[in-house]
Amino acid sequence: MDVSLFIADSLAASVRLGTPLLLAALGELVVQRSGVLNIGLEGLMLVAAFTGVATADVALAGGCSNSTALALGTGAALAAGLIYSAGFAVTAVLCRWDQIVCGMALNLAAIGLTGTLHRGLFLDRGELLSVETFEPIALPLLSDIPILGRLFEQSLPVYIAYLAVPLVTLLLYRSRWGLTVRAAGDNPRAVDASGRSVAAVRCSAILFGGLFGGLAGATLTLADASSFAGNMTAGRGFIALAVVIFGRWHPGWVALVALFFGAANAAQYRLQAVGLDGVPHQLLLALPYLASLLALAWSGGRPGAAPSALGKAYRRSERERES
Amino acid sequence: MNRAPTPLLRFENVSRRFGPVTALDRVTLDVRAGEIHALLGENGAGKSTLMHVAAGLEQPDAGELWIDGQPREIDSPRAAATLGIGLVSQHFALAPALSAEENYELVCRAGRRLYRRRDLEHRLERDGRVHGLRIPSRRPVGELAVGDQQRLEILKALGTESRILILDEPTAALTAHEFEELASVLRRWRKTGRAVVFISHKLEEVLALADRITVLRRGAVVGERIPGDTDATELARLMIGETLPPPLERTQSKPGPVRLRIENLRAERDVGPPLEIPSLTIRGGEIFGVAGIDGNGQQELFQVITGERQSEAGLLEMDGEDRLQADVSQRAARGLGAIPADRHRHGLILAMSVAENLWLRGIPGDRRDLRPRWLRWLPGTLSRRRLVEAAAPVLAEFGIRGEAAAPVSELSGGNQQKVVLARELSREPGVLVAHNPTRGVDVLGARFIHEKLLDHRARGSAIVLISTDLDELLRLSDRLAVLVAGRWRELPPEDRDRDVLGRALGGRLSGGGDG
Repeated sequence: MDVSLFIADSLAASVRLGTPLLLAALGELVVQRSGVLNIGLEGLMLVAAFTGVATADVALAGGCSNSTALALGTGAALAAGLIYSAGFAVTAVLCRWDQIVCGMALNLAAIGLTGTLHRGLFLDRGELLSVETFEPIALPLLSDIPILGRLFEQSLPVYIAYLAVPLVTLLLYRSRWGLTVRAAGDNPRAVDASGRSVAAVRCSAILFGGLFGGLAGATLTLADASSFAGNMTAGRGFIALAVVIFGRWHPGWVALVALFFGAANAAQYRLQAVGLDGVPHQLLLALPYLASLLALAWSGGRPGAAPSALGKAYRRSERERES
Repeated sequence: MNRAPTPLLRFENVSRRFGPVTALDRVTLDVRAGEIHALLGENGAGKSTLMHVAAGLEQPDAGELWIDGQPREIDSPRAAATLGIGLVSQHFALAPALSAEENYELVCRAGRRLYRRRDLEHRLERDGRVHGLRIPSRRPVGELAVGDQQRLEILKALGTESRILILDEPTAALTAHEFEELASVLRRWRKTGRAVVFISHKLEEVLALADRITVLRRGAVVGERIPGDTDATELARLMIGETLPPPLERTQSKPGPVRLRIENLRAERDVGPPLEIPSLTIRGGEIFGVAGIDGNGQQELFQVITGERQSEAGLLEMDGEDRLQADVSQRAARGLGAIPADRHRHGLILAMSVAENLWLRGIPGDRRDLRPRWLRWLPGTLSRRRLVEAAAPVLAEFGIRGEAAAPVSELSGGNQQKVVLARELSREPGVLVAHNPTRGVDVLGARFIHEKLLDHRARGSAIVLISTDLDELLRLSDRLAVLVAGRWRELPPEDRDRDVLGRALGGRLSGGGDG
């Protein structure tokens, strides 16, 4: 009885902790399938996490109800993700600057931006940034299953994330937009020759990724932490990049891998709580990062699934630069 | 007398410059309905640039395009498609990871926003049947044969209801049989009152296929001919601006000692059955030709000889010594030269200068002379200027037109290939393996490369010539083998014949039978 409860609890925690990774990775997956590598995901999540919780906090202080505050916060986080990724779209696609440099710049800017605003708007005024998180919703019938029922008492973003897996699959493999996105990542010239704008396709994919990254950020503060701390994403954006690679750029695999990373995270918490003799807790904290390192080492030697045009700016004419 | 009908497409005084280079110089050209119009010229003559202007990929600096007698601006591929101009580029505009039906849907967008796979497949099959173009579905396009990919490109152009179909060097990778199929599709299509523009530098196929031929040289139109009123000699003269030198003389071979020996070699290929070579012995002073379409083990054979690819079993000796385990640099140090098929990816470092590319494999002679004056005492230093100076005689010997200090990417394709050739040959290799050494090189450049290869044969090198060009193979090789689907077969001397070779390449390894 005790053991089965522990397992069910761990499973539920895996699902919950894997959610921000899954959301961010699903968005980034679409971005990368269009041929763009947005390593600014980490910064994007951080900005969205802060915007979400700050908006919800202000709304609560303004007398909004809890659920209204959460809705406003989530909306603000989505908007922040959209705006932040638009910055990436403009620099990396329209200006064709180096995608890695643009992504790094956005990551660094996010740490500075959120840190400064957090300090200036809240900490220095002695205000504590704090909100009520999303309530778990028990799904009827499913949550009544013995033991496994725990899996179906999750917050709204969790359900959205897992529902998004088949939807993104459908979008990528059965929709005209998804077809164009995949073609743009494989050979952008094919898209150009078909009379469609490669830049437009890639920008739309980046904005799509921005929405998902925004929701991932919102999940961190509005579903898990209920507050904000400097640089609180703690590398989750980068781990989401690893999830995309390990998931071989396919939504289904990405979901499994995100779940696996969620489990690594859950295990870390559990083991810390239980306390293993002789194992320093710092080592346990490193578990998710170790898992992503191993995952990258494993999949790094297996190329082939990556979109061929990943990370390359598209120029119609090779001679464009000269003329 | 009737005036000539309004041309479907008319270029009027179209000019285009790239930096200091004039790619197109006031070109005026008519393409009429119902004709196959060949655009003939050497590499770099401006054929592709002219067609890119029509397809919206390049903008002219001066001049106008007329469609149906109306001046039109074509500022994007989309604008070109709207006006009914379809381009099948030399490098296919296909997404290789996507299937044929997906690539087709990408262009025609006939389906719904959310589609079913079956509908896409069905449409590809139906439209393919209408135009007589059968293309395998469901598999990634990158895995299809080049002929299939080309048929898909043509179908894409037809599917968007093009009235003017432009084909840029469509036959570069086709077998003779596939060429005939293409020709019959184009002839059928011409009857519907549309037009085909067909870019080539091969005289024979232009004479066989075209209704009218326009010859370009250095960006300008130098002549227009009807196939019945001209011949290969005249066209060649127009193309290169002088008469072709007499055919190359291949002297009797004087076989020396065995330089390369391969026995029971077996190597995995990325796709298809493994490469298997039962026995191959090449002596100094011999050119051994390997015929076959790329993708049948050609790349793997090249890599197995250079050491880039490990063979699983067998024996490989160079100059009597076992080299099976030796890596690329060891083999190169022991006198192996290599001219890879893809000079951009494997032969050159495009961003580096011509001189640096020449010395990539090491620097002959006393290196102290190449140190900067103020660092003469420091081993390992190199002076950019001295490297460039040292390159001058090599550039002269190989007739390379370009600056030694300039990035090699600024050279024309033919001159780039000569840089690779110069680097490999100036090391005086005992064994040389060359893969499609004259692909994308103009007639005079190809001729020069052939002379150099024969010259090295006379000096005792053993040369493995892997090529898709049958004429090249028949002209240069002392012995011949065919490589089809990884399987190797040496041809007896009496089979040195275009037809026999063509049949063997069709996959028939036993002679005889009806082709």
